[in-house]
Amino acid sequence: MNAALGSFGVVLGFVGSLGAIVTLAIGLRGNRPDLLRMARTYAFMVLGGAVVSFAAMERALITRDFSLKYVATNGSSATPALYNFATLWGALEGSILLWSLILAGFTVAVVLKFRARLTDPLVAWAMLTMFVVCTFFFGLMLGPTNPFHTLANPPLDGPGPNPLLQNHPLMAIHPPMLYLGYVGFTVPFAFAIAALVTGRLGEGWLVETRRWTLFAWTFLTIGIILGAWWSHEVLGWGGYWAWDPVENASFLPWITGTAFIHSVMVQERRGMLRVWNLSLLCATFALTILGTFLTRSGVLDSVHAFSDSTVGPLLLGFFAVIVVVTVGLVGWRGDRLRSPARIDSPASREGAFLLNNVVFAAFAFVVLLGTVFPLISEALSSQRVTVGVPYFERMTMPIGLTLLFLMAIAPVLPWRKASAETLRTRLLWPGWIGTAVLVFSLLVGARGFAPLLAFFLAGFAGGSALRQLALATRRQGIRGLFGRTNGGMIVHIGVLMVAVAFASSHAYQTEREARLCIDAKAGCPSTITVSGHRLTYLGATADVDAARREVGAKLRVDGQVYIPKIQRFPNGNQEIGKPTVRNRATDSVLIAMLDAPTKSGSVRIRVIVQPMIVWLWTGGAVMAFGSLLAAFPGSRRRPTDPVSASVEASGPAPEREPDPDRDPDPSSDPDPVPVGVDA
Amino acid sequence: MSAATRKVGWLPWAAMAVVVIGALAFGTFAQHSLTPSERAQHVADTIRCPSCKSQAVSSSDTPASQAVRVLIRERIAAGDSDEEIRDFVDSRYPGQHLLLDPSGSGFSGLVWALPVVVVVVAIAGLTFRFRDWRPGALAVTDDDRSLVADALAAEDARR
Amino acid sequence: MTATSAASGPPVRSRSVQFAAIAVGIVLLLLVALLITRKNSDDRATESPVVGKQAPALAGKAVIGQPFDIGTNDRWLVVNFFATWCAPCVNEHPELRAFSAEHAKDGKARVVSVVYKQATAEVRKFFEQRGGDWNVVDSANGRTSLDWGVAQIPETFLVAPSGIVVERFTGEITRRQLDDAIDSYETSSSLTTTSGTGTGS
Repeated sequence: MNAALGSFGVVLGFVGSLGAIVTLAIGLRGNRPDLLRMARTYAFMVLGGAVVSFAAMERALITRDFSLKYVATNGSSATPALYNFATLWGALEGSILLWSLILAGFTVAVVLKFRARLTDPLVAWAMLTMFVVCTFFFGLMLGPTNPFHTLANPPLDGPGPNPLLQNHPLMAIHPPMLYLGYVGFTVPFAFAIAALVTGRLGEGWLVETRRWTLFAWTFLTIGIILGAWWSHEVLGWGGYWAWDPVENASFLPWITGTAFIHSVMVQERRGMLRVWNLSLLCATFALTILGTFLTRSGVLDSVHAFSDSTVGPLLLGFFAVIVVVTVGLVGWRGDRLRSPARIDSPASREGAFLLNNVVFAAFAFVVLLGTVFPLISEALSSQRVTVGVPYFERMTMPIGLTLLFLMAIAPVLPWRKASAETLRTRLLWPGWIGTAVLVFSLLVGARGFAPLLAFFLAGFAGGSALRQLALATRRQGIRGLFGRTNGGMIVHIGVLMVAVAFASSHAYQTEREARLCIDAKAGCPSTITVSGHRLTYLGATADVDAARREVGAKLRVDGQVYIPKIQRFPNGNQEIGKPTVRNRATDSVLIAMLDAPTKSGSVRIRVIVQPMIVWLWTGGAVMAFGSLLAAFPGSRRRPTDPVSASVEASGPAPEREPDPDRDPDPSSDPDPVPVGVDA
Repeated sequence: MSAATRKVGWLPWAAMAVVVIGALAFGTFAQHSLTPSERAQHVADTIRCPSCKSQAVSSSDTPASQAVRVLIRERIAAGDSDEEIRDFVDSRYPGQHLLLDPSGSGFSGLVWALPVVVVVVAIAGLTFRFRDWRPGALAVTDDDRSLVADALAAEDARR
Repeated sequence: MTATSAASGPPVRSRSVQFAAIAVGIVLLLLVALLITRKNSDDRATESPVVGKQAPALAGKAVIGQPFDIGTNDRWLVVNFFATWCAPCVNEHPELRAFSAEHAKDGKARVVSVVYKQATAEVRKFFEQRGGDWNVVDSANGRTSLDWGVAQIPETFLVAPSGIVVERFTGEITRRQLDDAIDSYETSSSLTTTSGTGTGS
């Protein structure tokens, strides 16, 4: 029943996508608006199929229908409800199902948003691209990742999901967030392809997809931060980011997406960087597919090893198709993409954005190279190397510091050209804020060149962001927090919080392993003090239920009781530690139990104290909040206005007077987004 | 029209530079030297756990990692340098590639060199592309001024 | 008009975008070709540092029976890394029992188990309940499993009488697999004299 319903949904989605492709292709060829309008029907058909499949799978999981292979291998009757629900995206087949559902949702959202313009070839081509992507994913579910395989002899119970995926609620929401981000980049990609195909590159399609990009970017940010939080809470190493291939796979599209969000402003304002922006959008989408391949094919050594399936070559093939199509289209349309406008001075807003993009591109390159280098080395020199955390940290540190510097300078730069005097004036207070932060860090005991420089630059950049926000709110009150520039500044503040937390938790981590006894004896104290936190061992706990068996150690930490645990799952061949974390604004104490408590009343634990870890998660929340504000239109801006710099490729049109004196000051123009050409 | 109300000279910036450079220098050179356990942690960060996929010895708790951690502590107590410890551990497990930091020589040196090369080429390329960045190339001609004046006049006329 | 050089730019430089696009495309397709020809990392991970070499010492303390020295061994030796909290390890226990019982009679092979990570008392209780009378040693704070390159238990190694590790099995082991392996090596080594002094360490 579930299998039949689910398979029906998959087929419905697949047929709907294929039908849409054929209909739209004919409609575009024959210029028939009636056919183009049918995209809407097909989109709902695809969404209907996805919803039916998703519901069938959830129903099978909830009713413990072990006749379904997916449920029999990933579900169990003992799994608690939340994790049971989340089991749907705990393994490959289900995650493709979730992907398809979200993709279908985005397709319908696009159809509804552009319902009045479905006959516009640009929109039709974008829809066509989206349906091609839908076809691929529904096709996967018909072939190698069919989630609705049935078993002739269903078992009575299953092993349950991977133990690591069922001991923290964050694991239930982290994947959907990540997928909302991943899949969301399909929309701007579809419009980029459509713009390339139709040749309408100077139009406002970028503005219209900007918010979709921002939406996807926001969810990807949330997903990544939640993943880091989960690692920190569950893995017990004090780590939250290990530069693991799977983490890098989610980070790469984030980097290119961030680069795009910045450089698209240059195109809107000055009409420049068109090739680059299109390439960034296509790269972002291609990287989500490549990332999925890296995650799911198991070619790379990863802690998150899922893998083992034939889906790898298909994803890689799809990636290759995207590359070929994009590269072909960009090469074909290259001429039209050329912009007549020039960058006047590196010391200008667009100059800073350009540098920002160089740095982000280098960032993406480093991460991608480090991730695949073991494979390259193995193939070309038959030498296996490991590229690990130290490499990434050493290579990305200068990149991160450069980005902090740019975040300090760029927000005060005017478009076109800045004079040294302007910079001196506008940057003075941000500079002193950075200096104050630096001196404060020294006073509280921070040492070391790189972290101190990071704190100084973060303070500096925070000052620049606050300056912009202060000027905007002084002029406009609370409305001064909305709009791209001001929301963007709030995102910057979130990024700075994350950066500061990253630097300080790395540089000033204290770690200690110790054996504690209830009754202190020589070599085995009952209380230890780590970085000013007192830990006292109180005794062992034990808890057994059908889903797991766990032993814990009761510890009093600064007066409150915490219980780190070790869990064993009936069908697992590993012990899963379940550490506890005491979070405060200034530092976090992570306690992991290394060995089960002994009968004689001792336990071995690891204590890790890291400053400012909480700032990572709050910084992530601030970033999400800021990008929400950035999605609202700023006070003086109509979002559908054509861009001011939509210079046709046919010839250079006059632009703004490039006289520095007439240059609008961003502080007097809190949302320096064009409102027509100086109108 | 949007000129800053107050002109700022170089003096405050010079003062700031003195404070910042002084503070950074103090923070860099006044560091206490690493304690043996901190050193052990740093070394453990750079060695892969022999029985895991990609985790460092410092971030996994397999018996193998615990053994390597014990080993590192022993060698530090014996007075070895970080590099000696790394080489020692690596030599004990041939073919396992336990060092997380790829070596700078041979083929794996590419992983260090390539990004630097790419960034240098990118910046050089951009500089070349925008080599008329000099303000002179942007000098405003009288034609431009009249064009803008006309446009503004037309705008005013419409209002 | 400003930026006069830009106006004359496009016709001259129009190919640069195409060249860049083609270059990027080629690099990426090379990457695809590279990725598609790679083996799964799980397959690669099974390369063992000890197979074909002298068996590393089992230096751990005795949990059941005597401390174990491979050097004194004159029979085939099965070294089994396990813990009682690992389900496949529990499943394979009867197989090892049968194997051990059979070869205790014919003197051809013996078993030694290495506790991967567990309290001694739990292991003793397990052997009391489930039977098995062979030596069990601990892992010397993980040193033994490190020396043997054990990634994830259960892992079982077959050591020839010469003291050379000849085979590594990952996952649940069966008596049949072990017997087959011993048979095949005995057939082949009857043709050639085995080298190795079997001194252990």
